[in-house]
Amino acid sequence: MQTDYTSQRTINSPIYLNGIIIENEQRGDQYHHLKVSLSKSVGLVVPGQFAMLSIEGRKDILLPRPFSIHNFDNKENASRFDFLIKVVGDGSRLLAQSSVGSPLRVLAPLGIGFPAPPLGYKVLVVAGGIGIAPLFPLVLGLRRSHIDLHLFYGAKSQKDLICLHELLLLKGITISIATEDGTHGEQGLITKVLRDKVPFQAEKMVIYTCGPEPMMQAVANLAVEGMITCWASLERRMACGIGACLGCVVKTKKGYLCSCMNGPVFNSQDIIWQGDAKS
Amino acid sequence: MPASGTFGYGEEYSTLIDVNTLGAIVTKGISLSPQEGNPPPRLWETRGGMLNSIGLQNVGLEAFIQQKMPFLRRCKTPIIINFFGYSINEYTEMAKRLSTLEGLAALEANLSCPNIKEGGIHFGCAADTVSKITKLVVKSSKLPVIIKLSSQVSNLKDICLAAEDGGAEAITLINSIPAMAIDLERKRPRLGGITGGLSGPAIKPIALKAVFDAASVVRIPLIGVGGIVNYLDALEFLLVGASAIQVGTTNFRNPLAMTEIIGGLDSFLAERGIKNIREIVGSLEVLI
Repeated sequence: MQTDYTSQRTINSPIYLNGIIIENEQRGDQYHHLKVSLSKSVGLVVPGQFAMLSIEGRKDILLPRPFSIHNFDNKENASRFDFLIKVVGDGSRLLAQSSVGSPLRVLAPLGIGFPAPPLGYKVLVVAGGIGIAPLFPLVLGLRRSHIDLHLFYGAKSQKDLICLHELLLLKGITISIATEDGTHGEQGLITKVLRDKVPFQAEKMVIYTCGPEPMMQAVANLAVEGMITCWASLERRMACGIGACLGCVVKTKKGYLCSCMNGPVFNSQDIIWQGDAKS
Repeated sequence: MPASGTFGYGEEYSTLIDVNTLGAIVTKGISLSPQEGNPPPRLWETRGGMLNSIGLQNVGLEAFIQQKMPFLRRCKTPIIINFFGYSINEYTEMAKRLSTLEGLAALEANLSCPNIKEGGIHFGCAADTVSKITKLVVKSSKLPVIIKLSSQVSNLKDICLAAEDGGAEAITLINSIPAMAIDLERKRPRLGGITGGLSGPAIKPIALKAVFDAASVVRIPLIGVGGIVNYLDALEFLLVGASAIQVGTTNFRNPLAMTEIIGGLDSFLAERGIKNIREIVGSLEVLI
């Protein structure tokens, strides 16, 4: 990883390239950690950016699927991406079942990632379930820049806290955990823990969040209360990943915006949430 | 060439493929005023197909001219502007204004979008309406006019003849097919627009028949589109009578697909010693 988290957001042109699954580690019933070696370097990647993945030669799945880049390793002539995949449908299942050596087609890096926190700001990271996928490289990047942070990590159950082991090894992070069934950390929603532990008054603070939309909406509401900037990474079904199909739009105060090009990371104040907040 | 709506305004794909190697660029459909499009979710994958309910979201004519034309003008390949209207007047107004722009090769009038409540497919279903719009658009346009039609009509041959009689230079067949998908658990449609248009390999046989039928009655060139994934699919369309083909949903799967199809056709022609691809057009042998 080479991201200096004090640097500005940079957007590279995406590259369409070949990849090979070099590791596929199952984590619990629903999750897989894929490591994919790429045929060439894609240059700078910002945490929060994503890739479109399709399995070479598989005709039963038509469209590529978007996945957050969970970790990355850029070398001069090669690159490696990690993806954290939760099996939710046919596309994710097919990827999760792919064996080591399976060839992929990868379009990356895509979208706008998380912007760096302003100097001297407190950093809160709020992850829900598989939402840890894009936040994990953010946390690593922030730590590389020696920025302390408080991670709020919630999930349905202990088995859904998929990156916890790696995160507990990092220094400079305070971690608060909640599970809905109480198998780890506090019982209940992570947004309740967040509300209890953080005084949401206007102060120099920035929040990064990814997870179920009702959770992100609750986080966004707290951010509004405290007049705090909150960056939320949204997930949408998409076809192209590069702003051509207009299929992945998010309803915002600026109209429908593509989550692939204008996101997937949005300032939460711009989002017109479609459901109800859950906290 | 790309099918309208699957290639943005060209620029989106320009870092991934050399757009000048394409037969043409066909833009996302443009209307007189900007369109917000349909509420999300807008996409759903079905077996072998993609269901969309974009609703012709576009920047509108003025913003198109300001923001999108500069890139298109720099392209060396022919530029075809796809457009639509919510009334016959809008079609003629668009044709008039678009054909004054420099650097364009042709206009493709969409008379077949399944995703808007007025206009679109509504105008492409009756031969007399197609005839009327085609005549007016052709009269208003200084550029060649291509009419894009739907297969979902009871009298496709009459409609194609109406477009030809109206002065169309070519006909594009087909548009995506009205369709829907259901979320059984939530008892809801999968798309925010409730119904959408089906595209992708699932519709190829329907598209082939539409082109085959059209080719039996009209003399103007046909542009075949619907589920083309590789050069073999492209050849099938040429066989039934298409003079050119468009690639749609496949661009999403593989941004290099059109380049690969062109390469595949070139190799096929070279291997068979076929000097001109036109020799294949309409060469389907039907034994009676």
